[in-house]
Amino acid sequence: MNKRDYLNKIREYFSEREVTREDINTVVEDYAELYDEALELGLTDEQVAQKLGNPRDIYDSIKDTLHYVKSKDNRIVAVMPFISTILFFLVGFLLNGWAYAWIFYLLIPIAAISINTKSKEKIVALSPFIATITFFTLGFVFGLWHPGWLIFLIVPVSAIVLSARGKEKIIGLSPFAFLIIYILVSTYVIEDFYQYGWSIFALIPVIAILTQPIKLKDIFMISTILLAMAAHITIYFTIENAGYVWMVYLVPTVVGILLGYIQVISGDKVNVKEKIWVILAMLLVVITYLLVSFLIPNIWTWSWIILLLIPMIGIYDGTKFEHPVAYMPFIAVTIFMLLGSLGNYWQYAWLVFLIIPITAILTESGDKTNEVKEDTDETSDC
Amino acid sequence: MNTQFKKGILDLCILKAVKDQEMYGFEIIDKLSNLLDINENTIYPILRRLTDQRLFETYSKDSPLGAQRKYYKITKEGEQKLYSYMEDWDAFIKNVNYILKDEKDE
Repeated sequence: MNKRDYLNKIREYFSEREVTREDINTVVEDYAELYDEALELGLTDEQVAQKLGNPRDIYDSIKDTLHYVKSKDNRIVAVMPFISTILFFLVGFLLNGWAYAWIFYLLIPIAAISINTKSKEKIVALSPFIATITFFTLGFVFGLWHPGWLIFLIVPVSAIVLSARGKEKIIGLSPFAFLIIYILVSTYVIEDFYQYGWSIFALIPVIAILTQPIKLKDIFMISTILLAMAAHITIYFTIENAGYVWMVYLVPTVVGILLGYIQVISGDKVNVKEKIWVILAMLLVVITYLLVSFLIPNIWTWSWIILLLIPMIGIYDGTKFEHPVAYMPFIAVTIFMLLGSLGNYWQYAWLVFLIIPITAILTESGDKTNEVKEDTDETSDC
Repeated sequence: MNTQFKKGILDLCILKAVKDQEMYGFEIIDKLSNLLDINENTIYPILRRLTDQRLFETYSKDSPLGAQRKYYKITKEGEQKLYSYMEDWDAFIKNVNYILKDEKDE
């Protein structure tokens, strides 16, 4: 096998996997140079091919950095507005379902995301739509607007499940787990739990501490937190209108500062220095969410929108603004919920979801339509 | 060895090797694959990624036989990343040595 055959095999293998022409050319150019350099050192063609690896190994090692042609699948996205409109009118006229038939328009961004995003990002990007459909189904069919809004927590939860690892995952998920417990117990089990049950959020740092090897100071810290929780509940049941009951948590806060538990957040892992802004930003989002939700009455039904910033921070950290379409599901859901919740414009608000395929077409697939065409009649230039 | 950890070490080694001496692609692959006893085709993806991340820049230069070669040169950003990796590496090694010293003392 000579250089031409070797490079042709790479080109063929990458083309079969629908890698864009631009990326194939870059890889082939790089390997052409590497091949020449190796030949100049006196290696035979067989030795060079063996050293540089076969096309499959090359592809496997760089596949995450490549771009792919998606024009065929985008036809489905193109026809989806028509399918949605047909379903919208059918359900509207036949079932008089005008109030909820707009949900079919969510099929447009769902199709665009399903086709244009890769596995991990796909689940996170689809989560606002799965949540929206479930939320309105629970609301319209079963009247469960509350606590149905809890379903929107799958947006940050899916982002954390897919991006965090091991202990980080447990720590990241714990605020949401306690929030769900708090709301469900308050709604269905003990009505008063709204008043004193928020003490369970103090268990979040306890969970964080328990994920590390336990030392004596950890036991002291955990005991202080549990005592503060016990004091909180005792004061609630023994003293009327104890508005300053939250002050019991100043004790574990001060103890936490004195014992240096701020390091539970900053950690001692190798990459934490680089990611500190991500951790702080996400923490700030959760704190803002909890503060807004607790301080403003009846805001739980849409304050979760703040949590959409968590996956957006994750996207910014990973790819900055390389793929603007990745942000669009979250921006669209935010505008959609604000228009619906504040202006009661549900019947028009779904239009905002069109920004997702529009952004995808403008920023992602515009140059790829030509690439497919060129790929089909491309001849090797090796 | 953890894959992410291994990748991080390879980044460090490639950044350092190119900082010490500007090299062409196959030269880097050949040198590091022999030194570190790793498969040659693991180096190219890293070179590609580090160049995409603007930690390396490339320029062309004629070889003694006349053909053009693409040389890799570390950028300012690359140097900063290298120093950050070296700090992390030193701290890691220090802790490992500390643990091993304890083991010997016992």
